[in-house]
Amino acid sequence: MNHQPDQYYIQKVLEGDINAFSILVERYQNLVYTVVYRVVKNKEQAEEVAQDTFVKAYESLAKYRGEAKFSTWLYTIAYRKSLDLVKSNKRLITSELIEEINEGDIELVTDALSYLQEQERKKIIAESILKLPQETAVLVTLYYFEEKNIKEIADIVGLTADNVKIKLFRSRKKLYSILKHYVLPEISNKNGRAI
Amino acid sequence: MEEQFNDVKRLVKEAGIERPSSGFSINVMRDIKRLNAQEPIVYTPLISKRAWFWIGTLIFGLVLSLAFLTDNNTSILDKIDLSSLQLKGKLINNPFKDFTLYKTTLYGILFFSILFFVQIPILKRRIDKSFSL
Repeated sequence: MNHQPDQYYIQKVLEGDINAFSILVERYQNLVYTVVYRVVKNKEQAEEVAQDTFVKAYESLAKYRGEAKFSTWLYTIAYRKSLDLVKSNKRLITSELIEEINEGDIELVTDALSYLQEQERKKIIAESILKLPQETAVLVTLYYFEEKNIKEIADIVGLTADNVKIKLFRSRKKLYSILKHYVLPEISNKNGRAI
Repeated sequence: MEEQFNDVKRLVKEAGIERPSSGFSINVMRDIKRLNAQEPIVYTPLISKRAWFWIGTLIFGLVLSLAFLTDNNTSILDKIDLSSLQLKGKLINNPFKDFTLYKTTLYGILFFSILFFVQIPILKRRIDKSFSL
């Protein structure tokens, strides 16, 4: 029953069937929440912003022309709302952990990760993504998890496609640099020298 | 780029997505339904145009009347005939004519008012507390 395309439910909502919107909410809540959470980096606030995102989407649904995918449009709202909150919080979350990392270190990190229990590994990776700068965290989520293409991502975050590519390129080292602090703390604490 | 980044893709996929609380969609739908139920708030001025008209007329009238008032120290009250208020030659009885204020009464009133003002902050705090969530 719930396997119709987004446009079908959008049309129903526009015709006055409010409950049809709940299917769209169910469909996208996790991803919208994830994008928001990775920007605002706080669960309670993320939940509020994600809620606002859906309410805002509902209000502006008539303005949605279907030029972009519904999900892209929704993430654009979510991303803007998250940035608004971050701005009003004046909480500029910069990651101090990011430092230069070479391919050798990346191998070490991958190796160390492979020894961890699945649950723990998942937790560490999720936390590392959260520690990425806001924009990078969103780019990484949309590109690698949601598998949006560069152009869609560029629309969502308001950057040029080339800029998105560059940032995605740099995100790899950033992510490994953070992961290194989790899985190889003794190396990073000693300024790169293992005991 | 693609190949080199397969490892990042694997990591991000493994991290998965975050999940909002279980009541999330219910909350969203409740907000939306409330949004629909809400009548749009139409701006209505506190003082209507009609009231402003009368206030304006009154002020204008008062300013104009200044021109007609003489400036010899006569009170406007002198011109009003108070004879109707007079009962058999004397003005309305002052009921407090024979009242003498004792010091004890004065102290009583004073203490009462002090206690009254002490109560206000206590009551205020109590009300604040009972209305706060």
